[in-house]
Amino acid sequence: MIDTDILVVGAGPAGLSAAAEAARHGARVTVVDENEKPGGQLFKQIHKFFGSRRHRAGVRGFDIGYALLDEVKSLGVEVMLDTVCYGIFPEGVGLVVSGKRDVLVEPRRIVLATGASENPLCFPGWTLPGVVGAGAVQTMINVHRVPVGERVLMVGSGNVGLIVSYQLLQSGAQVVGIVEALPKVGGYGVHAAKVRRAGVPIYTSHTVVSALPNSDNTRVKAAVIARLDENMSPIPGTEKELDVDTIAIAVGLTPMTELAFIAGAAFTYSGLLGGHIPLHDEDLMTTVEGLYVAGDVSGVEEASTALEEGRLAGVAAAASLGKIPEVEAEEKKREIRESLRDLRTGPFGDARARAKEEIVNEMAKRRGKRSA
Amino acid sequence: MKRISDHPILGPLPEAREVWITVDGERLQAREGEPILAALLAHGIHVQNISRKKKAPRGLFCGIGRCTGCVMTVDGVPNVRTCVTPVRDGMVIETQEGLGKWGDRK
Amino acid sequence: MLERDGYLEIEEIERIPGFPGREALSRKKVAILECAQEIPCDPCEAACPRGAITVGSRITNLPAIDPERCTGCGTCVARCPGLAIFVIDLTKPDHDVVTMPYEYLPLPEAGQEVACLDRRGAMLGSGRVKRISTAKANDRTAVVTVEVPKGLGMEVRAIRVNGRVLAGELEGVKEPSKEGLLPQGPEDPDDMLICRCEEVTRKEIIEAIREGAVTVDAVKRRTRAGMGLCQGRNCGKTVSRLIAEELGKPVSSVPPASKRPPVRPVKLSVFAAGEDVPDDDK
Repeated sequence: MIDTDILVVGAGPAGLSAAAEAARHGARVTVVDENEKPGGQLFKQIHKFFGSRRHRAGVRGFDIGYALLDEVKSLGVEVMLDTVCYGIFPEGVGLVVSGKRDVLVEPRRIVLATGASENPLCFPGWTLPGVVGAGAVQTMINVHRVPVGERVLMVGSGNVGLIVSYQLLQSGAQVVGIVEALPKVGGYGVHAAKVRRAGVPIYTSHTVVSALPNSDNTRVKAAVIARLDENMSPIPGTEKELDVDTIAIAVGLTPMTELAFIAGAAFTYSGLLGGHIPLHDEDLMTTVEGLYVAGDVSGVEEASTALEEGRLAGVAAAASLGKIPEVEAEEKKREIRESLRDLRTGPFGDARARAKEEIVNEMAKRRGKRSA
Repeated sequence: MKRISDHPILGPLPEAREVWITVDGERLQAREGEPILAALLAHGIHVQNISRKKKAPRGLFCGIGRCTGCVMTVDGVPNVRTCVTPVRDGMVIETQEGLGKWGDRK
Repeated sequence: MLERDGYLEIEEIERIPGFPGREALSRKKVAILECAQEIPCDPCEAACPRGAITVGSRITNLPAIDPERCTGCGTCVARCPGLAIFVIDLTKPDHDVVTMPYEYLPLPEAGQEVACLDRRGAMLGSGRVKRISTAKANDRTAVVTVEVPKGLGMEVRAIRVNGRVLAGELEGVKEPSKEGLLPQGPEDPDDMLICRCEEVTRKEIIEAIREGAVTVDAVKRRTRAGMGLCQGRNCGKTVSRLIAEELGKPVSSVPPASKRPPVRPVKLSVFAAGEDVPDDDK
């Protein structure tokens, strides 16, 4: 039996910062992660992060990861790796440790920081070896230091597609182009500018129509792309065949919400934030008392917002256990929410700010109805 | 072998103890601690299994243990996600056909 | 145009507060901040030792350069996470000088001849590396100062070292195939798999929806899409979209697939054994 105040599921940016914040205030915190290494997707982020310099902007993602790990270690947080959380039940949280031991934990609070998974894109040939998620590419080239292919077509020009394209170039691979279905680049202009000046064309209003196999069907040999009309249909005669051995897919992420679903949390929908999302209040608590969400599972955003949401959930969970005096806790939460508001401004952030606000409002309405 | 041996941000590839794995009968060198799939990609092996119905080759897709595209039979155990399972010295790895079969465990 | 093509045109740059102005450029070496979108980011402001860069109270403000305070020292170049700051010197009689961030291998050496590229990656001519800094404070972003042909100081924004082509667009592009038809893919789009694990095709899923399976769970029961090893993580969203398309409803109205524990594949023996199994007894 594991005795802990707060169980954090997921050792990525949100989970680790939640753990650090709660532990700093004297809560006993256990973090579980199904992987053998902590950090979530942070260790494959080798670029310098945007954001406020007060919150580690300008620092490379993996360096933030090392700093967070040192922090949770020095604060006495227990990090259990290779530990799968398979369900949240009335009698406790089910864990399988190292694929062998089935353990039931009864934490007083739970923070779900399970992240998101990549959306697939279906087109003829998409199951061929060589059609891969952009995240998979990033893991292989930056963490494991092996190339996934030599010539790559990137599908999707959001920040993930642009950043991974740049990192492919840095790793020594060639990027033959980036296709984007919309008429404009999805991610930050500065990320686009980096790959453009290296010579990578960005095909806006284009899509990949098929992946062509090699002779024995064991690998991608080429990608066919085509221009899209206003109805997003490929225009015949505009096809281009590009010699590539890899097609990387970066068309958005979906929050990994299974555990919140099983725990009985109520959901809402936000296309902008990745789909079905657990309803939560401004402390990031779901409709299940004591169950918090932080990071991409509460709506897909950036690593920088995940770090701040983790802190918020950590403070809120610790405060609800009486670990932080109320006035101090409110002050801290206010400060973190302000920083989150900062991160959600501008042409890229405004819409996310509104979407997050709608979730909190819906939650408040629901609570109002209950108490009425 | 294909490795990203030097990198502008990450620097030279750190030293790692070498281990040996057997893949479809062939002995291959790998770096201790790396996932099976990374070792296979370094050796240019991109097919991890053959799908059950259409007999189509499959391989890496998500790279973080969620899609099961890269499962193989490892030491007789089928459906091992090679992107998140580290290599161990002496591991016997086989390209999996369909859902695979339980083999003789070592 | 930045939004459409991924790079800034000169006219766009001239309108942003990071542009030091033609007059300043004509008489001094100065930084140019090619940051044209209001993104939440402010490290450049603190990077300047002379206070020449201002973001201000809103973190999304575009950074402004004060050309009088700027000495062209280049400290800011490696501090911009977007690698969007350059220092340019247009005052030399026989060449211009551009200082830029560089995060590729091989690193050039001082004195080396390099190819000069513009913001689109098009080759403009050759230049000579004057200086390269790999100071620790730059955190692995090299800062390279290049003498470029006179008149190209506002154009050159990248270099190619030892002829290494970074992108690969130049070869291998085949333009429209025969008779303007889409080239035949390996399979008919209807036979395209939606569920990778159980190998369920688009056609089978559409048929199921038309026969009344209008939730992800119902499609799963009828076709097995989502019943495989990945438990629907790959196909769930696509199935929702197909249902929405078939019904002519927004995708938000399609409820998510229900989930049951365990949410990850776990061998049944684990549950049979419970907590008492010693670690080494597999």
